[in-house]
Amino acid sequence: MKRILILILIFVTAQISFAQRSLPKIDLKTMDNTTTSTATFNNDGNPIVISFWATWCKPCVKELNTIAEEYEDWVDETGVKIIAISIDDTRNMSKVKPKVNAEMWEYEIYCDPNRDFARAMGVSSVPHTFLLNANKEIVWQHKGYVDGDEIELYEKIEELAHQNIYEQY
Amino acid sequence: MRLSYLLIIIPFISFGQEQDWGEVHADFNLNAQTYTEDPSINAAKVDEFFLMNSYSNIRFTKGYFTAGIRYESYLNALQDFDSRHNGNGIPFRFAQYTIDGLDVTVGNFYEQFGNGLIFRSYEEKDLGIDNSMDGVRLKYRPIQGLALKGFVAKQRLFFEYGPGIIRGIDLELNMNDLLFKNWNTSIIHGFSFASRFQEDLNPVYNLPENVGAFSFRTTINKGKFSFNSEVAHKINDPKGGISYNNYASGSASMMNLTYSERGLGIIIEAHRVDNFDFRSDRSANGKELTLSFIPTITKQHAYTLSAFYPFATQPMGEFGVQGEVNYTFKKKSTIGGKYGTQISLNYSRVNALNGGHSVLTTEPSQTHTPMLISFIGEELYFRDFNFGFKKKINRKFKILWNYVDLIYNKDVIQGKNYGKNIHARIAVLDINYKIKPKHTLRTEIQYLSTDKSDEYDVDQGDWAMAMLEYTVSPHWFLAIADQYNFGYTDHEGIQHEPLHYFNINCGYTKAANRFAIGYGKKREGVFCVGGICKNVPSSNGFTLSITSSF
Amino acid sequence: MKKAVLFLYVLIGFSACDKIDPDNFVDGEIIVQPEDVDRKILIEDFTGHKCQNCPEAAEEIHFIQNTFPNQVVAIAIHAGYFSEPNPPQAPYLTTDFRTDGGNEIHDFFGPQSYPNGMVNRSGHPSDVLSNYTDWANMVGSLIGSTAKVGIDISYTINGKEMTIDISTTAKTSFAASHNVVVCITEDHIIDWQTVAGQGNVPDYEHNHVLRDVVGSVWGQEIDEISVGDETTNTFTCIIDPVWNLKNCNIIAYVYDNSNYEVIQVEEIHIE
Repeated sequence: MKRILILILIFVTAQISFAQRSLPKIDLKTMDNTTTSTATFNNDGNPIVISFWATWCKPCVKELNTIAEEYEDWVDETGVKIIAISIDDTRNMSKVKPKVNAEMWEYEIYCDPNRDFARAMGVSSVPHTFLLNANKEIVWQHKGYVDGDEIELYEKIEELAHQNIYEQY
Repeated sequence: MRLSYLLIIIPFISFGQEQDWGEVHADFNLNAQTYTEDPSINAAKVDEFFLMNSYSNIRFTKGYFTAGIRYESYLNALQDFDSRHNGNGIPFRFAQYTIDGLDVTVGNFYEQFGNGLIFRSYEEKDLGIDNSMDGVRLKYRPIQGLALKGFVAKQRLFFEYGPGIIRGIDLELNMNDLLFKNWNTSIIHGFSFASRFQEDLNPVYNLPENVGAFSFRTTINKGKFSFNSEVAHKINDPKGGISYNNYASGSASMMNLTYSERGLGIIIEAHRVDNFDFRSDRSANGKELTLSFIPTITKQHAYTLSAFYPFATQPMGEFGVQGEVNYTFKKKSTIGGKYGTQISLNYSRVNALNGGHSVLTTEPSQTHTPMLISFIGEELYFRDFNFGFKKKINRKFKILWNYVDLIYNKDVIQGKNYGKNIHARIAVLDINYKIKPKHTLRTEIQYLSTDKSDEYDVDQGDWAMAMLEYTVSPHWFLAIADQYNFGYTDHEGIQHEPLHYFNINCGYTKAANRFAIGYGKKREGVFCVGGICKNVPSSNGFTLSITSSF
Repeated sequence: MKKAVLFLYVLIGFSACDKIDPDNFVDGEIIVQPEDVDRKILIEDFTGHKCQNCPEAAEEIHFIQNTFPNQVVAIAIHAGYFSEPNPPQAPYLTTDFRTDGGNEIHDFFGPQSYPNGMVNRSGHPSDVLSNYTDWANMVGSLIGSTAKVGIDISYTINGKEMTIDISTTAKTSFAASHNVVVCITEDHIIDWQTVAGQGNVPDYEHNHVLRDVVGSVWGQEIDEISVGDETTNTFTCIIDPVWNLKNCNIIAYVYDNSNYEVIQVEEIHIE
């Protein structure tokens, strides 16, 4: 039975073009514990960055802090929006809002306490950052964070933003 | 089960002309380690020479339909994994579709009701936890603000299932969508119920075949305040056997209150657990077949030595509190300096219930109901006090300083019997130095010291750890670390020599692929869940880790 | 409408909870003694003197043996992490209850947490280990069943040597090959034990402690016999002076080679 399944999958995979990954439609919680959906993510056609983090993950907090220093400029130049998804489970979920406020981040923050969204995006460890284009398709992703990774991230965002401008005209 | 496999190919058969064939995405994870003999740390080699865990998720999506499988391979499982993870298999497969707001999943799924007190099915691969459900789950939103979830399933146990049939239903009401539309206070109520059916084969006792637990939760947000609480109750759930059965019901309640504004966050939490270990099999123990999830109320430590004595909720009974304050001194202020400074203070304390957990047996003398709240004079399980300080000195330097003072009851948490608690003080200094753009050097210096006075257990004495990490964005990292034990005399009077646990790791990351290899020694650890302890021996060898996703 | 029906389906899955009255906790008769004791059941308990929850498993065995008198044979195998002895100069828990045979059995069936055990070794390989709260269920379901063989144990002692004769009689025809294993266990050993809630107890009574597996852990093969016939296997055991022979038992069990399941067990006390 398993062999048949694998054959089916190979057949299916051969038929499918490796399309850009579109954003899966998954339910999330806001920091206020209300239920919302990834379908509501919107940036009016501008690039979107989705970054998975956790309050206990030092590189994640470092990444979001480093970007925070230049976020205003990034938004002015490219219109990018950063959506940070916390995978903290209910042990640490209450600490998300205080942490975001203490660090003074301006991002859109959501909570994914049972990792449903993370699983749908193939995220097995944090930080894991995705870049979405105007059609909300994932065009680039990166696992982990070391100082300087934000430079590459910004290069990709700029590329996208310029693409969008060309496409508009 | 085979029907769900067929569901994957139905979308291809049913339409012919359309261009949209859907998307396939997958991710892959592999962890392998060699084990060589090292008498200095009591590390033994393994017959297989190396052990390996790996898994791959494959996910197909087309429109409103999603299907996926996960293939897991343990040839053989790493030493810190339960060896019943054995061989290969597809322990996770599902098909899911959404029609007009009704979300149907058949096959395996993960799910959490509220905070997870009565039901949480989740995975945490690093800890070897994966208690997925296999059955049918429905989610429906009849009107805006009312969300319903229901399922009937069995639970995963390695490559098989637990005996119980689990049924669950959850209702969440967003009061602002339903009634108080224009309030600036947001109120959410939730109610959940879960029950297990398991046959009573006990020759002597009358065991309940249907054991149910229910809970009620509320979240209230107003301005800068946020309040979240959940109260759960479980009816009689004796474990089985004929020597002893406790028919007392169980309860778990938690609450947290937070205040946060720009630059300041305050959190206060408390929880009480009494006889609340709800599983798919009344006689399961350890990490097997858990249904209830009571979040640990102590701070989650991020550094190696501060996480040396980790606490986990004692489901049979505990009362805990936690408080935390995070404050940012603004830029240009005296303490803030040029870039701002952050401090964080945290205190948590967990103790036993008055007289132990609830008991109800045929012996009236054994019956006991603990007081609702009691923290004076009760056995201390864990207490810690944390102070953290973070500051960016200049464009090149960032420092982070952490201090922890904790008391750890090894007798209760690990099932030892030394009669004394461990009192440890840990200091961590984390310095980040940007050599030039994209080249960074980071160092961690940590020190752990156990209280040597008669009142406390010396345990393994003092430890020190130093780590140096060099990273080149965006692809490379290299880290060397040494954990050093200063030597100690143990409870049996044996002298242990000082030991180094040296490690070197390096890796390459490109986009969503990551390769890392390492070499060194790992110290032994005892992992305990509710009284059942597993000893993971120390090891010496090479490690390899590969993760990838597309 | 369809969705309402779908939800009813889910709701039907629930039934009222079974809350049990204190008067109803225990199910009637406690002592179960069938007319003819035929098949006896073997419980092997992986334990250790540092394992604080293991006394609960021993207590469970005690209750099971009282509930089903003369039908349950127990062997406590001290092996694994919690059975390691402290060095001789330590104040307690210095006794080594481990045996070569016990270690081999432990390593083969591979328990990783304690207490842990096997009832008739049924369910090998994936389901052979069980938590002690399950043993009563398993024993209860097997009680009163017919055994395929009968076992007769006899022994003679010659100085430090004991010769044990195991005579196996076939009661029904049984295919496949079977082996017979002989063990020596000792009761009433008073020594240290870590007990949950009490700390280290110096005068704990250890019972059915495995002292030796006589010969190979996998036993001797039994010759093929037809119904009604018998065959004898002989074992030689060297008596260790540490044992208190008056408290010792000889246990013999016959198991099926193909799946390790124990089909009959017998125990006699050494006079």
